[in-house]
Amino acid sequence: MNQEASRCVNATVGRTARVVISGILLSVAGAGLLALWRPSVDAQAERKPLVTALQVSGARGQPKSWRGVIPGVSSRADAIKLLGQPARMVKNSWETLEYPSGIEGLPNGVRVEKGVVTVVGLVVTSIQKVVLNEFVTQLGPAWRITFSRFLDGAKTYVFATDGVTVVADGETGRVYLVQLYTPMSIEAYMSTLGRDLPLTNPFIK
Amino acid sequence: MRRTTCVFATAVILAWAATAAAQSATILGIAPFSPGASSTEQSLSITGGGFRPGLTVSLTSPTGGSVTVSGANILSVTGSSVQARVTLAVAGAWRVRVTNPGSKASNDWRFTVRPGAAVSPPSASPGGGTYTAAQKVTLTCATSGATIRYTTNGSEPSSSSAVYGAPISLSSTTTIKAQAFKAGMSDSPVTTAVYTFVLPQVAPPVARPAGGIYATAQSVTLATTTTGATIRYTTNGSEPRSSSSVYGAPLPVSVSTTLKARAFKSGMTDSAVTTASYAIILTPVAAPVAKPGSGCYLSPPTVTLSTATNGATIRYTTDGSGPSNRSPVYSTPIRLTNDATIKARAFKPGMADSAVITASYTVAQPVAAPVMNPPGGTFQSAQRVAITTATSGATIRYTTNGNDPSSKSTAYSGPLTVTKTATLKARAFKNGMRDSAVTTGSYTIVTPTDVADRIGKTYKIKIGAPSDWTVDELLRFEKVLGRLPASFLGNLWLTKVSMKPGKPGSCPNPDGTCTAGGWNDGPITLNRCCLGLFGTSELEKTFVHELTHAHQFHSCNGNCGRTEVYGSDLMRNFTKAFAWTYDATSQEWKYNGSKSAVARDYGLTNPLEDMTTSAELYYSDPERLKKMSPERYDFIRNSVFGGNAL
Repeated sequence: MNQEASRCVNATVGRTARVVISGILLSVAGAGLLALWRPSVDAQAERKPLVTALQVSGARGQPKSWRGVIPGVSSRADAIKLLGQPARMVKNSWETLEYPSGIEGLPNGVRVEKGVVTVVGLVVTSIQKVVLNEFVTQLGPAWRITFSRFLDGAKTYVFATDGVTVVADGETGRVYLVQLYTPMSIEAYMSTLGRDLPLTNPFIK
Repeated sequence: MRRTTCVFATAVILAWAATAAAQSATILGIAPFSPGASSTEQSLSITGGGFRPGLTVSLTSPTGGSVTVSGANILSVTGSSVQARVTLAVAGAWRVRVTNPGSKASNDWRFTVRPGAAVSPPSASPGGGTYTAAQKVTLTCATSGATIRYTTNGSEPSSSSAVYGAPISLSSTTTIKAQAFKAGMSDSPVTTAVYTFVLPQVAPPVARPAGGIYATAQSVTLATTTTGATIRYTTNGSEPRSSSSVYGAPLPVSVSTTLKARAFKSGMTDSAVTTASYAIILTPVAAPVAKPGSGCYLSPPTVTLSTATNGATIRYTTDGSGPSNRSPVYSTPIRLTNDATIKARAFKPGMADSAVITASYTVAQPVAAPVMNPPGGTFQSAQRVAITTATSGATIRYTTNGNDPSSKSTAYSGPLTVTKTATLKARAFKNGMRDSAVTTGSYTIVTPTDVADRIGKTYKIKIGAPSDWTVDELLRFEKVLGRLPASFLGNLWLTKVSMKPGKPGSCPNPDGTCTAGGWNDGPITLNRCCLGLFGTSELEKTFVHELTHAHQFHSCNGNCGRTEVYGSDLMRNFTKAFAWTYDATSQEWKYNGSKSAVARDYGLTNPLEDMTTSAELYYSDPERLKKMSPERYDFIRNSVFGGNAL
């Protein structure tokens, strides 16, 4: 583990407490409220910008939206209404709606499970010039930093309680990929969406 | 009365004979009744009865001697007669009896052999006498049917002597004795005829030159004045005979020789023997002269051999043995590098071999050649070179200008510092010994900067911080670049190649891992501490690996962010060809092909690494890649290396 990763471990204790409280509140009220209230598409679009260049919005501790699509909230129909018809749809265990990212062969993706959007995967081009610090400034230190198989030198920064995971260059901080999902504990993330993340450097040649 | 008695007796005998026929024969008479004495055989017919085949006839002479006739000398046998061949040489009373096989002898039959008439003595024509030419002597006998037998050696003829049949040729003094024989007659008296020949003698051979003492080999001719005579000779002291060597051509006489010759001609007396003694005392070839002569030499002498005798051949030895006509021929000067003794002798046909000359040489040994430590070679830094010699007390002198050291060159006193490429030559000297051989050390000092500059000029690739590299690393990198095709090298997004310093094996990554190299938006950084883990053979593959990354990132025309690399034609074609898919929400590349087709497990990390590991294998073992994945082989060859085979 490097020093940055060690800090993340120490911070986990405090954050875990906050997540527990939030979880209780959400479990008491959230479940009922979510059943009764769903923000309109327009309301989804009015969230606080997180990374403008990516059209990602959402305050700290809140679910993040991409162009109004909120994982865990938006339906498949909402997504298509907001994003338009996908360039391609891929079905396996879930359905993935693919939208051009600007890089051919490397699309943005919207995962739909049981009619609800659960994950949004974004590809960041170099023109967008997004850096990791933009996330850290607003979301605080990542809960977990692991390696990434996407590119040599890239690392995965998991902001689990904000429903954001970023793949960025470990030295320059340049962001390559962004993943949005329903906020959850780091443990929950590492056992679900992040279970295949490499914990050791896969680029040992 | 007598007739009556005989008739009676005959009757009695016949009666007896008839009864006794089965046991023994009976002789009743012989024919001729009274044969004449003769030393030749004659036929005797015996009549009577009871004769059986296989019988023998026994004769008893007047002197009491007995002869038994049997076998082939029994010419015929009937029951009543026997024909036998007998010799009745003595006149007088004889007895004869016949004995059948297995029976008792017959009765004795007495008969008388009368004295026979003598055969006429043979005549010789011409008769004995003295002659000057060869003669043919004819022998005749007046008694018809007689056989003439003769001798020419003085002995008396007998019935076993040679039978005369044709005239006898005589050319030398001879005595002929002849006697005639005829059956039934007494042998003739012996005729003796003495023939004495007085023949002309062949002229004796003449030897030219005559025998004597000579200083050179001679060619001797032999001649006789007798026309048609044959000359025969010997050289071993024996008398020439008719079987001796025939003279035909001049005889070479190169050593002292006694020549004896005699001439022969048919019808003439052999010549007298000519004797010629030749004493050949040859002039010796002048003895060889060796220059320089015997002595002790500091430097290896080159010895020349010569002789004052023109045309002489010099032969020599160096092993102490005496030179012979089979020893090596001297033709060029002899260079002696060690102690040696030369023995030489000169030879020339027609002259005596020269005396043997002996020349002994002692050659001083060389000083042991200097040894340089380290020896010459290619070095990456200045070298301190120590020079030593195994010869105690020797002085080492050296040069750095390429000239061989002389006794005036700089004396070595301590290790020399070679700071730049130079050729060091050293030689050791010591009084009483030969100068040593020259030891040469070529020291090439190559710095990383030298190689980095060369790479920069040749390949337009900047080497970052050359001092962080070793020369070996840079040479290996240069080797890789030398093998890669221009089509590949011309398509690199590569700004600099750097080597992260560090000791091999001491990995600097904070997480304890080691990354041998990496491409990062233009520069390639290699990590020595990790390269050390993989061994030197991995170094070149790592170069290829990272250069392939540089090639990948060039593929979007220099407008390639790290993410965009996957959108290039090169990578999209690769991912499509080799079953790589991108899961947009998991944000993972997934490989759906056969793992055995991937060059090594590391290639399963993502499509970029699949391609670079394939390129490594294409570089190091293309046949293996071709076997593992012909499609990858073709892709790397055509799309990465521009269709060029390495």
